Amino acid sequence: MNITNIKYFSTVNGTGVRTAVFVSGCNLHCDGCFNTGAWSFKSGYEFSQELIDKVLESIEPEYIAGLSILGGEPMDPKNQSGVAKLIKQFRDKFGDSKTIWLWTGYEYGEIPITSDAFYILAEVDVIVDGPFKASKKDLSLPYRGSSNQRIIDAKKSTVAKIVTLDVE
Amino acid sequence: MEVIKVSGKTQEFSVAKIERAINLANKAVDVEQRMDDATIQKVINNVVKMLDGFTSVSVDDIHDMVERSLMKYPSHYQVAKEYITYRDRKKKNKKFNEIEEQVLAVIDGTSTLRGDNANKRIDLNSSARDYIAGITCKSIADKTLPKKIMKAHKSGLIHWHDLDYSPVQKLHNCDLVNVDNMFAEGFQMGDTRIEPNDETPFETACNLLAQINLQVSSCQYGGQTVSWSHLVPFIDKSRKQIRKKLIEDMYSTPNGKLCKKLHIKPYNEKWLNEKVEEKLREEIYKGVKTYQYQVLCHSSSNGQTPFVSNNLCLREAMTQRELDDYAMLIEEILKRRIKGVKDASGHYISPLFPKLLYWTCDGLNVNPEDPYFYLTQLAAKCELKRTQPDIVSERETRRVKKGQIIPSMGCRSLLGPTWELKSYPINTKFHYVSAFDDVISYPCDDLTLDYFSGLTILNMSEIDFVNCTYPYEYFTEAKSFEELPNGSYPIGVYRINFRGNTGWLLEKNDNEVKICEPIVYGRWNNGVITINIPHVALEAKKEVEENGGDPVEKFFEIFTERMELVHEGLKVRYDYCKNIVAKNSPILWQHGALARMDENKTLGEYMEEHPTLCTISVGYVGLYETCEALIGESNTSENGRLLSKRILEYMNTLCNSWKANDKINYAIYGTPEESLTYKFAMANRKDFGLIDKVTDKDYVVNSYHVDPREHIDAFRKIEIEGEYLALSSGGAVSYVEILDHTHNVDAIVSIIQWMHKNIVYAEFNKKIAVCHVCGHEGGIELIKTENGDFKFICPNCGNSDDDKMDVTARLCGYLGKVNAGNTNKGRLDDIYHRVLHTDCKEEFETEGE
Repeated sequence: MNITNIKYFSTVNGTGVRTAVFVSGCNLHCDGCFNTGAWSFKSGYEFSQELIDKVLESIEPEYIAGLSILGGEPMDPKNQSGVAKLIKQFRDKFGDSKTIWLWTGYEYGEIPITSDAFYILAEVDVIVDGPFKASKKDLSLPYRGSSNQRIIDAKKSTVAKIVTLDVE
Repeated sequence: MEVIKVSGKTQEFSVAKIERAINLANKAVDVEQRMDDATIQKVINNVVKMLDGFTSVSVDDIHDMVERSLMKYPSHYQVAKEYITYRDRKKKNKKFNEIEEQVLAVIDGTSTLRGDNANKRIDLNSSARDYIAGITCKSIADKTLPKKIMKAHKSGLIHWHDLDYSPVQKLHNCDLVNVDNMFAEGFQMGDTRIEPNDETPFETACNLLAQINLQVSSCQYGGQTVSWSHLVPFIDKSRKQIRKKLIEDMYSTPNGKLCKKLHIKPYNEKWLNEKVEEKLREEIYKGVKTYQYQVLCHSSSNGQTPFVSNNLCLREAMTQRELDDYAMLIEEILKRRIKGVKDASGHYISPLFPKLLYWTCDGLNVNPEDPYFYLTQLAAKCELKRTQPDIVSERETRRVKKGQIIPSMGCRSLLGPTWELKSYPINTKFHYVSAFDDVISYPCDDLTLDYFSGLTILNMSEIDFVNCTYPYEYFTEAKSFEELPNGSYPIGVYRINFRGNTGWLLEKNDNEVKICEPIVYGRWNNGVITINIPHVALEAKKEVEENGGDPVEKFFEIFTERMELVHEGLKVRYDYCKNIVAKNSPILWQHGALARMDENKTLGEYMEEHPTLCTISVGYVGLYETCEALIGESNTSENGRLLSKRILEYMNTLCNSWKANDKINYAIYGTPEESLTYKFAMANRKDFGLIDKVTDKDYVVNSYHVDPREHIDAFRKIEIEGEYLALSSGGAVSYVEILDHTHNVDAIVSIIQWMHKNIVYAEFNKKIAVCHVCGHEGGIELIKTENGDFKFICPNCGNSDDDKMDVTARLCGYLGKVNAGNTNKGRLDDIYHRVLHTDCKEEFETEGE
């Protein structure tokens, strides 16, 4: 899996101060996407173990709330195993002391399912779902680009019952 | 480039004028001394080269540069001489003298004069009056202060702050107002005697507080801090009154009268309590709102809003009831601040005053399990909206203040810990620390641990307060209870709570108790002189380049001399303060805001009796530039930090020896450079030319701060800067620059928690704007135009009309309106260069986004 960038000390990708990983590759191609450069799965850099270690190390301090995974499309079948690997190492290191936020252009119920997807959905804390819709663009909304997107409490949600988080 | 004339007016720079002046001088001398055209051109070119990098310059500076350039040609010395005498003659022939010209420029609004306070508008009549008084005072000061100090002040080696007020007027700098004492013993404003009592409702107390702020600010030229804890007792008074009134009302109804006859209550206790609390919240709401409006709408005698800070420290509550009431009050104050106040166009904006000092206290409001953590979350929300309140760490304050908690005065000036021996009637009721211990736990490091446990103290009468500021150093000498002289007690037992600070019972007889009492309120600062440290570094570097040697050693050599100059200046300044007589400012010195003296007593006598109540400040700026100049590294590098600490430690050593000799409480102070930032930057560039990283900007970096251009994350910055606070204990404040459009309360909370662990005093920064054209609220772009001017642009609609927007940013320790053409170029250059300390680091250079 490739990533386009890692952003440290981020305050716009989830609550608290976080490290955000932007994975490469997306087939959804939403109109008005903020990150078109990440559409190609070959864009960016290989997400080596060295970079994973860097990400995990950056999350160690007590003041870092956790990890954010954005894209590109982290839930694209081609990226799921890479994302699962990152999450596995994160949980091994931090347990439940820190949180994971994940952004996907798929709606929660439409996420392509593989065994990795089940693992990811079970391990992340918050999912921001749904495609970016230019017609519903609202920059005043926290952590999302358009009003159709939902901030989902992943630990409490199932396909049958979505629990959203009230984030101010 | 603009040229500032003697009157303070500006005009465009013109080479032709210089040429004309030199030609006039040239024609006036003997033929054999005259310069040819080529030489004159060389002189002019040299002046133009010296002006490189300046965006504005004074006429006097240009004259100096011309003179210096002419003097490079000794064979034409008469030309230089003629030029100098011509300059003097021209001055003498004018209709108005310099002072009058300056006054006229203030009146017709063309003056570029700025006070040290950037929030003082010159086009207001009320401010203009104060500016005019300032011009006169400055002129007198020029003639009365020692020549070498004035010379160093004018050339930018040191800066005598607030010269427009001090030494000529009988004023001092800033205060911690003792509202507790004023309310307890009564006070006078004008001819009116005011005695708050149990019938005084909270709202009235708020009103009185605003009036006190106004009067105090007219008696000094700096900031003042008042603590809301002093008003908290009135909340319970109001509660009792509301309750009494509600019960009376109910008994006065027909139903109530019947109940009375039947000896039953006409109400249910639970209902009544709820009703009382509801009405009490209304009262708090009204009180806080009234106070906010009053402070903002006041104009003190110097033509500006009183510079007021409000202390919000839960630890100052004396009982559980006060603690809960205080929490309710702080909640209301923060909510009102989040709401903001309306500006002229009807948009809600950040009120600039009062500043809010929000304390983080272990066990109360730091961690999610703490009972008042919700207040810290509310404070974080307020930061996102208003970049207020300031954050003060109780833990770090106690660490650097020998266990005491003391708020800053106004925007940063900080007093040291002190205790005094006081006698009280035997029946006085005190709050023992132990009685309140289960509610609050004092955070103690090694120093304070000693302090609060097991140690013994000597009889206070043996303590020499002049030579020892802190009884602590004496207390450690006695080893056990048996060794104590008669009448002394082990401190672990008789600790008394004075608004979160500890006092000790020392002696007790049939009539009175003697207490070693911590003194926090009723204290002040006498004024500041700041040293331009980068100038010293550049002098050292230049000298070493010419004559060889080690630049750092040379630096300390010159620094020692320059510090002695500051020392001499401060002694003079202190002596002027001694002449202040109580009746000059009755509210301060006679009615309890600072003291209760007889009307004819001088401050000199009072300070001799109480030498540790006040400070006088040694300000410093530019450790960043100093490190760059001397070792070519930033003050964040390991070597840079070592050098910075060495300089500050040396300053502390010098100050301590002066203290011992002069019996004056000198304090080291991280100067908030207002107009000063530009003055020093220009002085350094004028004397040493353009030097990369040192004189390549129009500001000098504040005190120990990291350069605003340096990329560093908030946590690292706070950690590094926090290390300097113990060495800059007379005042210092750090900031972190945050994104202007985030909603992330949790992120702010985690930064606040980090500040709590690492730094005494810190603030959040961002530019907050309201665009009157499109209604955009949030961030704003600041661009620098080709001619060095700054322009704010609305990111939404592109509006760049200064009159159609409202931009608030941190100037120094306080916020200001930066778009109204009010802010000096140096400060704007600093604001322009500030980089983010969150969202500040990426693994790869931005690509594909």
